[in-house]
Amino acid sequence: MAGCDKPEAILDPFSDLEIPAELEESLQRHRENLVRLATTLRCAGVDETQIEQSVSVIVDSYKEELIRAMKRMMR
Amino acid sequence: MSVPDSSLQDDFKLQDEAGRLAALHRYAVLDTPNEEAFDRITGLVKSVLGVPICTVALIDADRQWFKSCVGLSNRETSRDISFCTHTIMEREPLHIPDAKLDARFADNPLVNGDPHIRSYLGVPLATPDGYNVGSLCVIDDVPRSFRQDQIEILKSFAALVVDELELRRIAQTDHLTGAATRRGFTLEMEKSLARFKRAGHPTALVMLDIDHFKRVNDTYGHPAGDLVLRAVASEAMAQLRQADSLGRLGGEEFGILFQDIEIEHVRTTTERLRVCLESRSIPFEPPLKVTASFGIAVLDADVNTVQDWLALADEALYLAKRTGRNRCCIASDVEITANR
Repeated sequence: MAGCDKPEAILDPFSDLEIPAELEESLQRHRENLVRLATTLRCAGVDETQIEQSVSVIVDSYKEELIRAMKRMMR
Repeated sequence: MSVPDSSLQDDFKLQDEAGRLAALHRYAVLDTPNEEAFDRITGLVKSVLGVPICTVALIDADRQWFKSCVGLSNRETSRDISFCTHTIMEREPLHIPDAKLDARFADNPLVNGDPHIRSYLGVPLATPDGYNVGSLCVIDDVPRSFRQDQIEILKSFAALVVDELELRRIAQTDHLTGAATRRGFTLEMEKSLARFKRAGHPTALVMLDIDHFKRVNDTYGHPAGDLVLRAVASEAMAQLRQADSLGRLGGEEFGILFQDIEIEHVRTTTERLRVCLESRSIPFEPPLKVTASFGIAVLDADVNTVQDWLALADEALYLAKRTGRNRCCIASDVEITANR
């Protein structure tokens, strides 16, 4: 990071973002819902590989939209 | 969420159709393109539960519209024949092991014709404030009893569908005023424009700009400016009907979209809003008074893009500003004035 005035801003492009309470609550619900998905899949006897793949697909989709949302909020 | 039977009668939100539709429209998702996030969920459900059909169905006033569907080619059906319209009337999943043995569905054209629904499992898509806006459902063309653990899986996926809807709604909300963001609002304008081209429903855009807003910020500081923006948005929302929408286009400029409304009603409602703002005192030290100028642009055949439409309203707004502020002008007035 030599020659960089604000290395923390580069490390964390969202450092100035104030996350609305509504989004915080939504993120918390999403975390709980992911745990619930993994639990229900396991209870139904779905194998661990498929559980991991399913959760991973959902996490990736949500992450993409979340990043888009946060970028919009920073404008 | 488990609700005892005795509580169902008390659950007024299941009967509050106007509130339910308002909750659905807040997502601004109807008639939007397919999105991978939803398609991935329906794809996963199809694979995990081993069904030929899975849909994210949203129940509009008179139709069910699919945000995502695998195994079906239709994008919507009329509401009166949809299974999902039954699903949203309950808090718990609707499970139909054999539609031909169920009096509610035995004669349904979706059972006796394409796609030949024989078994169905639907979980309501419940918003955090308790409205069922649609359902995540799986369908098979053979009789089938879903196990309780499979029902629980579908409930888990349904909660994740709502998470995706919520994330989009939050991202399209301006958190200072509660209005839609410019992006969310222009998406609504695009849909209105498409509806107008298809069916000719009268629709109008009103652009609102707070007069001398910079002076408020410069004199009393940004907290006062924020109070003014919130007050203006709140007053505008109070004047709107369920089908109308408010967006913050930027800074102190807002857009109001009036659906299915004649020009005289637009003019009357806008004028009423102008008077309300003029007479309102916003609590601050000292109390703040503001006015706003309005430009009205009714959709007509010459408007082909959202940009055309915004430009028309902007011209009318400019006329309102140029002729003294705190007034409403209509795009047609611009032509009359220009021709003088």
